[in-house]
Amino acid sequence: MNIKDYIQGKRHGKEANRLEREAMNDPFLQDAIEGFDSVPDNHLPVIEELENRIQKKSTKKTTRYRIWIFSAAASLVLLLGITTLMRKDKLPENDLVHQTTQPASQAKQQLIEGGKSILDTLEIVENKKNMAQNIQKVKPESTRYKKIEAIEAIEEIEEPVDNTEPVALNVKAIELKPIEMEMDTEKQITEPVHVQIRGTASVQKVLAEKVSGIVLDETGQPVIGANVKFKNNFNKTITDMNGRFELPMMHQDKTDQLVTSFIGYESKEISVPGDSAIIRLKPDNLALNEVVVVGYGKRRKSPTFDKVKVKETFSGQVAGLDVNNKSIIKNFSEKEFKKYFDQNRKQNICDNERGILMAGFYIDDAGKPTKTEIINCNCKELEEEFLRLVNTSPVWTKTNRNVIITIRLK
Amino acid sequence: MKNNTKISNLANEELLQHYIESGDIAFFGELYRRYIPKVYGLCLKYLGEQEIARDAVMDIFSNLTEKVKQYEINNFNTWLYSVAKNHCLQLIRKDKQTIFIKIEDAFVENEDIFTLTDKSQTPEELDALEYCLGTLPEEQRKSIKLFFIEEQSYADIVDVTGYALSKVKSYIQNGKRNLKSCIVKILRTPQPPKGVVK
Repeated sequence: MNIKDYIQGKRHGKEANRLEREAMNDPFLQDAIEGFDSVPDNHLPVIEELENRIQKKSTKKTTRYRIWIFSAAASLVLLLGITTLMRKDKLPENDLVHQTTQPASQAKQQLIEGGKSILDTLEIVENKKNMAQNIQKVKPESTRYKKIEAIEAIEEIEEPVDNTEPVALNVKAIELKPIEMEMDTEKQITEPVHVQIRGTASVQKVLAEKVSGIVLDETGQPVIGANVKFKNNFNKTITDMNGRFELPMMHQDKTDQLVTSFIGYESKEISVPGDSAIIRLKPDNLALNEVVVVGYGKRRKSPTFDKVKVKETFSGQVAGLDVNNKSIIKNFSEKEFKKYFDQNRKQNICDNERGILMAGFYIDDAGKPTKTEIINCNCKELEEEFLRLVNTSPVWTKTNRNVIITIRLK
Repeated sequence: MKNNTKISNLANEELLQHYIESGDIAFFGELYRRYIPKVYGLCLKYLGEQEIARDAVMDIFSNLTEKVKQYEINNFNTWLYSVAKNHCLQLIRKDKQTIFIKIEDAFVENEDIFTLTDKSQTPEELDALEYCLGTLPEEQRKSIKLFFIEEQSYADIVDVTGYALSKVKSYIQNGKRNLKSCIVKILRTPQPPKGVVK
């Protein structure tokens, strides 16, 4: 069994088994099968394409092959030129020809210029006999096909090339490959024509030109990120890490100005260079005004009140206002009353008699002393003072027992 | 498709020989063409992408047209294998800093490995084979028998046994290894193990 069948999915039966066993002893085959399995797709078309390519490559003799390309190219150029001339009047509907019509001298000039610059790298073929071409013998239908190909490939040539005059032609060999297969040049060579083909330059496209260069600062260092643009066009770019830039150039840009600018540097305008430009920027002399930075302090707001202390001295009764500290005293009984009595009594009473007083009373629900009874007292003033202060005393702690107070004046 | 029927009838060795003698690329082209499925598959395995693999196949061909003349090639298959593999590995190396090589590569077997039914065998060997088959685990024995004796493909075995394809492959791989070590051991010991078999 063939590996091609195997990867096509024919994996059953003894034939498949034989291939699998072969793969066991042939790592090459093993890898190949793994490879096909790892990329799921129908691989057969690719394999066949590759086989065809290899076969084509190996059956053609390379030396002749090249000459054929050039001879085919040469004959096409001739063919094109002459048929264009002949058809110019008759077939105005041929758009391709009309679009690109230019004076022959100009076209020729462009070709030669283009050719010169790349001549060094070209392979020069000067085989006049092989280049010869009898146009009459080319089949008409193939002529038409090839002609269009050729117009695409060689835009500049619009007028017939004089057969007796050597002309430098630019022909892109790769693009002409398909033509080669259709033509059998050997049969068509009848009489020599003096054409000199010089090389295989690529098609001269006026649009595909570029202007490039490098932007440097006053010290010769590359300027990174500088803007480079055409003055009258939208095309613009910036320089890379090495200060280099590349800008595609249209035909009309050739007469334009190239403007380079970068912050801190003066913009510079130069006429568009032929190939590469070195652009040196000068620092901008416009200095900024001095900037003064002033710092301001910040004031913080804070409360300005003092604490208000309600002291006992505020005690008293005013109409509509009751400011007292009675409620502040949580526990008021005999001991506290004695202190209260000492602080609030009139001084200088009963000093002579060493006043002594003993009294008893009860505390009512409102915390007021009631049923006050003087048990013993040796001084009238003391008794009066005691009764006054008992009635104005703060709220007592409630109790059911009989409170007995003994006061000795010091 | 083939213009030259004479060339396509030649064997691989003859093609190589003719190419080295005459230098006519047609011979080598035909030889390489026969290997394209293998080379392309190999490139797919290592490069993973069809486009890259396709280019690699063409590159290898143009590299080889000269190289082939410079080497003395005994076995074109193995030679091409190593050249193509190296080409792919170099491409990977250029592309990435690290190379990932599948572990299966370590198990790729050599040509000198024991073959079960390909060669004619002595009675002792057959006895040893039968005995050793009995010592294998069930899955391995089943897979080995189907693959080597009944000549069924992996896909067939999957259908028959219901094992997964990757399992079948590893059963055969491991079974083969076990068998080999078992048989080698038995053939080297002086007493034949016949009594044990029966």
